[in-house]
Amino acid sequence: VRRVPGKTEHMRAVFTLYVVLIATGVVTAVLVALSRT
Amino acid sequence: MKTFLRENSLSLFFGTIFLVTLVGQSFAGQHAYNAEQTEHGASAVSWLTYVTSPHYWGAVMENWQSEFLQFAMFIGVTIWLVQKGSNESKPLGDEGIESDGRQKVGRFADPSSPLWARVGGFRTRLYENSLLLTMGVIFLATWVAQSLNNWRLFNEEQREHREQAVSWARYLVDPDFWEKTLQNWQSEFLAVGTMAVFTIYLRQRGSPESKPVGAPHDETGSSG
Repeated sequence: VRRVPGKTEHMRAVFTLYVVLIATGVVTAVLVALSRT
Repeated sequence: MKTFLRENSLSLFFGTIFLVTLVGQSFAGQHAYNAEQTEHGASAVSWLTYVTSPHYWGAVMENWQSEFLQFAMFIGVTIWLVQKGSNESKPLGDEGIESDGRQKVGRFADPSSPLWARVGGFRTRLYENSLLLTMGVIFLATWVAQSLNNWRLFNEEQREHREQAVSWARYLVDPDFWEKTLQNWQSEFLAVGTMAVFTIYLRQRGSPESKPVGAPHDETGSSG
């Protein structure tokens, strides 16, 4: 396995981006459902 | 910037087409919803009203949950089950969670191994299952979100037909919930099974999802 030193912050950025996208979607969906009575 | 785009092209590509298709779904969904509204003599809704409706989020979560279930199951099941000749499988004989040495945990960890793989104890137990646990949690969260939105939608329809609204618990055993759930699950399971089987005999040159073109049919997990 070839490892490239440095630039790990880029990998962390895309990881965080995906976590934020998923969490935003789930939270929005739950809030939409619970706000409709 | 160029380095950033090249090093992360796979995730940026899928992230971008995800957002484009999610927005596309909202416009197509709004039009389909409004066509139905007009048929029933009800007024059309704006795009903003539609993207904050259970109709939209129920449809989105329905698909999300089945995708995360698919990957969670694939991650978990492939620990123990194998398919001879498949690129999606471990080689026969490697079934199970494998030795600490092979997995580079605890005293077998490299200096470059993640901290939680090196420390041992609870943190290593948690970290060595973190992918399956995270995908499993997202599956459960999206499945609950699907059920809540489709429950609201179900009750709106009940009211339109002057029928009694049902509780969330009652909706969870309604055929409407299970039809929406299982129609998504069955397609995921077929797709995963197909990948496991097709990669025995079929190839795509250059793709890590395929064995090398010249690899023999009975070679298992050569580039997975």
